[in-house]
Amino acid sequence: MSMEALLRVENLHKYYREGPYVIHAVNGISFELFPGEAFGLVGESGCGKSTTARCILRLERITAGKIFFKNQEITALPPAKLRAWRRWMQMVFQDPNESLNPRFTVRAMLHEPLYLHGLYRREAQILEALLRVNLEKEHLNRYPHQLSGGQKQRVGIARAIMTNPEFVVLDEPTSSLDMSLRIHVLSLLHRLQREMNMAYIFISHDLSTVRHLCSRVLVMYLGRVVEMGRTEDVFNDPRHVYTQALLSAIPIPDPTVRRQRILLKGETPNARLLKPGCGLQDRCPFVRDDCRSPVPFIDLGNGHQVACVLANETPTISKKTGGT
Amino acid sequence: MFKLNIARPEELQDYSRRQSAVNSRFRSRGLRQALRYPLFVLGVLIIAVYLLVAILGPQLTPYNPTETNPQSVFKPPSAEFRFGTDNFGRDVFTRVVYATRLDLMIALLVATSSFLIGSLIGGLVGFYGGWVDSVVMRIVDVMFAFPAFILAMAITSALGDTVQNVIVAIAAAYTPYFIRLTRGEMLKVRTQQYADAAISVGNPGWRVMLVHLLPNALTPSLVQMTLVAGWAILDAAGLAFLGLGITPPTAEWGVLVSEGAQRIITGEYWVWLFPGIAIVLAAFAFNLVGDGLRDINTREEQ
Amino acid sequence: MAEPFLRVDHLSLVVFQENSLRQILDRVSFNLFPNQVMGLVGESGSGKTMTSLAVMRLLPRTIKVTGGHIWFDGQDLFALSEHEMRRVRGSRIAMVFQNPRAALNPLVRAGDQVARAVRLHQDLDQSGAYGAAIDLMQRVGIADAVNRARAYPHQLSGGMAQRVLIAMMLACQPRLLIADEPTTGLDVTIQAQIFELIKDVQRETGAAVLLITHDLGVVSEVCDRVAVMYAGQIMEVAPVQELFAHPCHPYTQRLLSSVLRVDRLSSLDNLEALAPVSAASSADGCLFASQCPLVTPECLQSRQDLFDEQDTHIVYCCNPEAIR
Repeated sequence: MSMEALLRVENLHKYYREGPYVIHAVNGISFELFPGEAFGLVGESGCGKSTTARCILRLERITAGKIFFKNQEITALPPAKLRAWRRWMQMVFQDPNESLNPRFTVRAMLHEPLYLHGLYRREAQILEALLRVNLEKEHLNRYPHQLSGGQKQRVGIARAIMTNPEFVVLDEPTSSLDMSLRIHVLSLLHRLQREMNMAYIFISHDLSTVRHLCSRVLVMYLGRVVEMGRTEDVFNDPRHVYTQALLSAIPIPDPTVRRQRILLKGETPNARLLKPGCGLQDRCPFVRDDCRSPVPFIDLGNGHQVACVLANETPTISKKTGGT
Repeated sequence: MFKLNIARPEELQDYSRRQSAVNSRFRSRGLRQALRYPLFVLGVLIIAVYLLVAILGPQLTPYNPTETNPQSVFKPPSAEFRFGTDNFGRDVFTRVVYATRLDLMIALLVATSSFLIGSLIGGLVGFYGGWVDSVVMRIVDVMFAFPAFILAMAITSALGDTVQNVIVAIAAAYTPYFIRLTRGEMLKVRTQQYADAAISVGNPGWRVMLVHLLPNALTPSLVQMTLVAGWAILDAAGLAFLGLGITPPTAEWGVLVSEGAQRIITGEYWVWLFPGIAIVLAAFAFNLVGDGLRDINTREEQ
Repeated sequence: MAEPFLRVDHLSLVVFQENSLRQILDRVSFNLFPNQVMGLVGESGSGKTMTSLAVMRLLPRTIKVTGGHIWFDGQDLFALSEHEMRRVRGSRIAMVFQNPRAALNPLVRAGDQVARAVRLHQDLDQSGAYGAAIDLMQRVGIADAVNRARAYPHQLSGGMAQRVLIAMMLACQPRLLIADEPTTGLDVTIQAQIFELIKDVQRETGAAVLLITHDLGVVSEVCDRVAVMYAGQIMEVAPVQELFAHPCHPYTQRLLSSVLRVDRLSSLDNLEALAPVSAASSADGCLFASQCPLVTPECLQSRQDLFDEQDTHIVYCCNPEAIR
């Protein structure tokens, strides 16, 4: 069963000018999002995942590339026309303390998307959304400063689902929450996705969370796609050195598991001094000459793509004992 | 700095009781907070008194502010003329009371109009930026090069000596303050996540600015408004003293002081002293309120 | 058995908050031996940071000690004067905080700050101290130390700043190192590097380390021994292998089962989320009682510590079912 891609991103580039420097935040990202799927966008800080998401939602001006929503190009739509499309793509922001307007009540925040897009049966819909995120009617008249962190984040989620969007971008939705709250919110997101058949673009640096929520994942480094594929493929059989290093660096709460850690030298280089070729060339323990020229994608089947010359050659370095 | 606080169980009960007592004395949290700033409360009380005087006005005195009375010239303060009389035999107290109405009105009108116009402009240019922003800010810079009073003088001379012109002149002199303040806040607020959220939900730009951002950008301007009210009084009085703007026989504090200025040497102190105190006290009170608001706001953020 | 290097004995702290006394720590006790990394794990609000601040005697003025002692190397820390304590801090007990850049003086270059720390503890002149500072910076893995030493804190990345702090700490050669979530906000690959560094430092100097974290993966990989805290009370103390293999306290079991692993999938629906720590009353009983599957009426009245034969695994539970 082939499905039409809901969202298609083609060769997205985003550069910032900072004084005399040009910061290459996003360098040629391409991917597709299918209806109803949870797609993870992972990477460490500075890799460009948040910027990519903001570009998709046109919160930033795109330097180059194209974005298609349901086969309609929205890259250069004028703001007035874009607004109509916004009801199908919503966003849940990272910091619940900053993404809610301190002067709005919960009711006002939930009412606004309905009002802006001319949707009716408002009171009923507001209540329904509230209950879906496990909040109560009494929260409607509260202001953000009267809510806890977890409640604020749930209001943000409720706001995003008000218009029944086709996909929701979630930017690190659980990063600022406590451990116990994190699980609440995650299972809530999981349930919502199935109930409302929404697609997610789930941005996170926390790979454990992504593994549990997403069916496909894209790993980013220095604004480029490093590896992409089904979650089980990327996590069980990572082929890019960076993915392997990333996964091997995550501490596992189980002393019986023995692993080999891949240590990358140094730190993530500045996004200002971008060299051609693989972004990892200065830190990779297996670097070769052809890593310095543009790296092609190697297709390993089942949608598993890797941007590494060693993808087929080196057996997976960090084979773990045990684990599923 | 880091004193080790060891408390024995018996002491805990006392400590607990003492803290509860302090908290329960002032039931309302707002009141409790306000009382932490006694100067602010003082300023508010003084302005309240002024407002009362302004509102009750004519009922406080049987005399007419402009009616001359040649027999009672330069009488010192007494039971009959509470603040004495001036060179035309008019009751100084009456003149001060009527002047209160005029001056307060000027202060409030100047403050609100410059606040409204300045904040709107500042919000707009802060949000949209571009060349309009640059042009407006250069104009603001030029206006800032002149002291507000000088500007007011220039505008009043150009427009003519009426109360309305005085209000316009002083408001125009202070509008740049609000433009700059609100623009600065708008630049800050524009980068907040809830601004992005407002856009992504589907708000058009103007609505993001007006409904979402501007209310959050007004706080420093509101504080400034009270200060400007105080300064407006000083400016209006100053202009009148110099013979610009409001002229005799209108009862205005500055006019009264200028009328009494000649009497400083001759000793009829009551003609200039009471209006003078009125000016100083009013400006002082507005200053206290403004500073107090600023302190309260800074505390809140912490 | 050797004498514990650090002995926290029935430590209790209270604070007056919102019109009542709130118990922050309740009879917290644990031992730390030299050459050992001990983890203090719990959710936010469990009191782990307060415990570490108590050891350093850096508690805010509003917090009162209502009971207990802290013995360090045979000395009762509460019996020392502030002057004497100041000599202990930094030179014998050192602490590494969460936000490394905030702990550095923004106006002084990195190398100079390390040099100052060196001069405080060694008798060297300025150039000698600066040279020693460069050495230390190289020892903690800062590449290109000579140039990095000339950088100001805001020019350093988070990981680099944390290494500078560790270098400063090494200059003082402490016997006890307290690390309070030292990698919050740092990337996972940098986190792995920092913990490797801490372990190296510990092995080289033979110092004892008290590591505070909420991440059970970190505990598993870095710590030798671990104490589990909840709502200001210690629930269980055990060697790391023991704790993961045979968790006895119901809270520990719940904690372990609620963790999402990156190498293994758990079902999101079946995860039992922990209720957040509720504001504690000042009862003498166990604060986990309301959620505990092994609760007995005795649990609300008092707490018992159950030991295993070798005194290494301690469980604070009234129900003998807990130890099997």
